[in-house]
Amino acid sequence: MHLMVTLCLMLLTTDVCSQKSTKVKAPKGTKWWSLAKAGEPSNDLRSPLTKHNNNPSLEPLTKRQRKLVTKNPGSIVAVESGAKMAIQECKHQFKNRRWNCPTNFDGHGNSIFGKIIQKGCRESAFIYAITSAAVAHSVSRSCAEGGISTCTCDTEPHDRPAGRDWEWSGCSDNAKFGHAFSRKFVDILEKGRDFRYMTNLHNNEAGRVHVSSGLRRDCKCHGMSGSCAVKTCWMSLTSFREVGNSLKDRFDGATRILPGNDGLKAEEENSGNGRGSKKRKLSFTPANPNHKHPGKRDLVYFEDSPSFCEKDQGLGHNGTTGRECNGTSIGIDGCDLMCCGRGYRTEEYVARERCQCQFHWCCDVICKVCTVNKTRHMCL
Amino acid sequence: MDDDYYDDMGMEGNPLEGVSEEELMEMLQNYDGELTPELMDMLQSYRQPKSPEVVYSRSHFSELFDNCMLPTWTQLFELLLPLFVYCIIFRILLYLSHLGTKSYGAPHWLIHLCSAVLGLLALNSFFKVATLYIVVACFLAYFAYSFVIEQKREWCGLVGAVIMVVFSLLCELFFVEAETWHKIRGAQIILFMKVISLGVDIGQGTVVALPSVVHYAGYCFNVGTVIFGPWISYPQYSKSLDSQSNSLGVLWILKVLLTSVLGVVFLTHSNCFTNWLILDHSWRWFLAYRDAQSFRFSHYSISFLSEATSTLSGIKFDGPNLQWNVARPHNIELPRSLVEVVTNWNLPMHFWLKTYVFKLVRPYGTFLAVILTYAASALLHGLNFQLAAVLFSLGFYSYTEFVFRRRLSHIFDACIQARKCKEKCDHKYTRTNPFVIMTNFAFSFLAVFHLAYLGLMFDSSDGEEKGYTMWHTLEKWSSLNYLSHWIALGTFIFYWLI
Repeated sequence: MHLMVTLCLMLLTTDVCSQKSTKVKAPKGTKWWSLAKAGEPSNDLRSPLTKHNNNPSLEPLTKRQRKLVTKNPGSIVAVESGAKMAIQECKHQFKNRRWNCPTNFDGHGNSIFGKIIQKGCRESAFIYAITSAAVAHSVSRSCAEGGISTCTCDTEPHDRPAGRDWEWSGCSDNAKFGHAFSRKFVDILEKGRDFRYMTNLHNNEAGRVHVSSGLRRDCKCHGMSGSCAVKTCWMSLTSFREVGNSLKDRFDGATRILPGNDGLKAEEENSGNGRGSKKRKLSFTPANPNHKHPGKRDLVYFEDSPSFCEKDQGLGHNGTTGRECNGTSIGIDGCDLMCCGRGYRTEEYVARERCQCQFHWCCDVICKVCTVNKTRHMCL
Repeated sequence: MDDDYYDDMGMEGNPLEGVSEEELMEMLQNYDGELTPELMDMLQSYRQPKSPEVVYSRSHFSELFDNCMLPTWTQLFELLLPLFVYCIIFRILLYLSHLGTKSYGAPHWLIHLCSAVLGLLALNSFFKVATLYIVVACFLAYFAYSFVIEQKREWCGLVGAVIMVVFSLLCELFFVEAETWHKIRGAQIILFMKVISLGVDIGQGTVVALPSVVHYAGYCFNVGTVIFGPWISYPQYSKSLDSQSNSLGVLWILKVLLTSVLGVVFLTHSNCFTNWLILDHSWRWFLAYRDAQSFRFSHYSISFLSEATSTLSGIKFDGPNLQWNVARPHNIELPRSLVEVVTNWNLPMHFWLKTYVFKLVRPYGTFLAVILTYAASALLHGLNFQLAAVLFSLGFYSYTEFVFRRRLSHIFDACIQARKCKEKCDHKYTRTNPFVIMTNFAFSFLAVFHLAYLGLMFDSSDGEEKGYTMWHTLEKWSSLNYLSHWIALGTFIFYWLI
């Protein structure tokens, strides 16, 4: 049984190319990532909703995503900036690794992260988590700013629960909205029932949980001699860099999983919106039975990562040839590991830098330009 | 090879969980494979504390603006709008009432009634049902006065004080929930001061007769002073309402605008900037300074808002128009001495304590008067260990500082007393002398240090809504080793020796 499963996985992963035409076929929904390549939002985006369906910037979305976006005017802008944020953060977190989060806007609707997202490795887990987190974060932020009209901070007095006069939950609701929106928007894509989709769903949710749990509500009392006549509250949403950092931590400690013994469960759930939405529940076990079951915040994967040493057109990765490496580090960014033992060439170059900057009253900083000799190492 | 690349360690999920250091070293010794990136990562993360729970970094200003400043402003606007509207309405009514001639103008009782009704509306918008406690306390005192004034007029003040203290204590201990009480305490203190000052004024004859119920209610619930204060005396109130010169001038508008804006700015600083400027992992004394400053700015904002509302509703202060009459932040943030801080913290309250407690008790001994003044101040604030501890510490500190600096001033014949020298003083070294400047600066620094220590426990932690407990206070102080208390004690002993 165990062998069978692994064999199946092997098939799935090694034959990505052959299956692509029939089964996987570039997950359609992930095309929204390419919103990141859109320029500044045009004014059309803020125009009446009816136009939205024809708006070219909605093209990468699926039908249901478009519906969701149209229902919540302004959210497309947030999604777009979320996509940008995700790519930027991914590149930042992985800048010193062999896989440095390469992106490619080919304009043909393919995933901008390349085919790595069709794998089930750590890197793909991170991509799913960070993009889903970015949407949640960006939408929550946009809510607080009033960019999305369906979720502005509600300050109407009559909506506040009686007796709790100084409660103000506007922005925690924004975070909830962002979470829910991201869930609807991102998870729509994972319609399948197979293990890969379940893994992706888990990683999506893990990304969002990192955003929601970074939300803190602070309050302060003001009044005569420290009494509490006026109480003001505000939310602090952690910066996306912190979300990225903690997701990177989870990437390092990601859990390898196998499908659970009881297979996949697809529970019918008739409560909720009444349409009998199917709640898909992922059942899996850690590959190493001695490890504890991965929690809500943990990233999971089921496939080994490629080495990312050589150029792999299929994955959209260029290999590490020509990458700069750190000559003194023995870590992952060091030349030994980065260049996969192929060696590296060292070159000296002349850089021009600003130096000897002085502050002049008021208010100029005047610098000289110095030429500095620098060394860099490049992988062969 | 590629497929095996990550297999060595990568298979293990999170290999660090449940692996002790010895196990890891043992594993490494038996390990003869390649030094993979995964392994390097693992070793690195093992050396560093794994995923620190809180990452301290200063958020971007725009983030601070979105997450803290905007919500603070919207909530403040929402809370204060009714109060400001009631104040403006009252001011307009007041203005209209002065338009007519003496015989045709609005009757006095109507103006007082308006003041009371609008004040009650304001109370209701802030405290909802809890307004009742304030109303009950107010009229309880009135009934007592109307009885006592027949029997023994000079006892009015004492009776009023006893009634208010007993009522407050009963409410605090038995009847009212801690959270509700903590909310209305500020308004209660203001009422407390108004009622007692009226009682004493009646007893001393400053106020000729007991005002009618409407006048009394108008004074107690005066719309401009009922929520945030400041305390005003009954004669001051009457004068403000009668004054014909009370015009809607440019200065008046300027003062209202300036005090409101400053109030909001101080509140924003207290809420948002203190925590933004000094991050949580700073040195503990910086943190103490930060929390104390946040508390102080919160107090300034309330003081300035109180000045704004009272000015807006037409209350006149004795001082010149554009001088701060409630709190003077510049004298507290950069203090000359703690004595100056105590005075400038809340000028009306300082005046009240001086007039209605200190001066009355002084005939029975100065020391008793000082003790009773601080006791009264503590009682005003209710049975709160934290405030009592701070107030008594402050009393001890400022007394020590006062006598110590006076002694030093005598010895060196220099202007280094707690209070500023007058323009022409007979000291040998005046304030332009560099040593005098340095000494005063050192005392200023000492005062800032004491203030950070005393104010640090108002740190808006969990207990804030109900008032802090004794343990919270002691815990905070002991984390700083009671350093400030030791220094004050040292100063006092030194004073004794010289």
